[in-house]
Amino acid sequence: MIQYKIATTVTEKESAISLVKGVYVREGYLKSASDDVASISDYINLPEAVTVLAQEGDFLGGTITMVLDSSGGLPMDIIYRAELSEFRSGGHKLAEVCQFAVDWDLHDDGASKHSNPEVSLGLLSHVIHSAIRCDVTHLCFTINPKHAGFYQSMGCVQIGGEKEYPLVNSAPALAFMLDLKAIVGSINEGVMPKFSLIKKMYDFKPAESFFDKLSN
Amino acid sequence: MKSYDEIVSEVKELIALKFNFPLEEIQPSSNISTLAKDSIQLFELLLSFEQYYQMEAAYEDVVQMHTVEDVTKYLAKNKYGVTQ
Repeated sequence: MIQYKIATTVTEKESAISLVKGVYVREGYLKSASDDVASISDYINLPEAVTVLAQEGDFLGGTITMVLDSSGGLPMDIIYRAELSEFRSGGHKLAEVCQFAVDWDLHDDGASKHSNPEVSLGLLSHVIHSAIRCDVTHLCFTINPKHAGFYQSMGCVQIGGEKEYPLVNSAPALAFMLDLKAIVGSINEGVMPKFSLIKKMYDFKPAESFFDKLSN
Repeated sequence: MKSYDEIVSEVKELIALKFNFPLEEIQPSSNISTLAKDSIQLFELLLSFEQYYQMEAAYEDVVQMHTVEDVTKYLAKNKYGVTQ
């Protein structure tokens, strides 16, 4: 059974950092695991960061981090500060989703009854519900353009054009934003997302105990 | 009505297009998770099947699709009522 938890210990955060580095190296977002230009550890260790882990027993197969906006800004401010300023001046509470990495297939040589999409969906769901608990109004994403369709299907809208993102080996990036109030409102009114996996993402209710370690 | 073989071809073509992967290298036993370059791409593929076939697949079924054959069998049975 997949367990989702918020990383609180040094060991848990180091495990998350190691997983992200491994996946990012494989996907070309980092040159090597020792090349921490992405400042992965910096973001996961921020006091404003909430890092969610997906585990089965001792195996860590997925992680995602939400950084709450603060005077230090968000990771994506490096290239999208102007785009975010419009929302900040509008009094919205922002947070950015980053360090999203899933490698569930390594688990028991694929013997787990769970799969990468299931873990991805669970992590995104937990981070969305965490954002709602933290009164975040707009959840931001810096994404690779090849993933735009997925984020649009989640209900995100593009707020920034394509730029080179130095934090991920200068890969191309787009800025997307999810208006949480609008998406929750439309779901409450019965307007459901188009796809079953996306419906499940919003439908999924994390265990109440998951939020115990969430400091608002 | 489509035949099982036609559905196999369609599924393989969709995967090749989505993942920019050589069609001839996609086999029924190919693991879609391995063909995808990352987990979001795999997620997108599953959404594209729903879109292409204009059907809503049950979440529990979708997350259990591991191979090209799993996808084909599911679509053949649930969209067209055909078996291999």
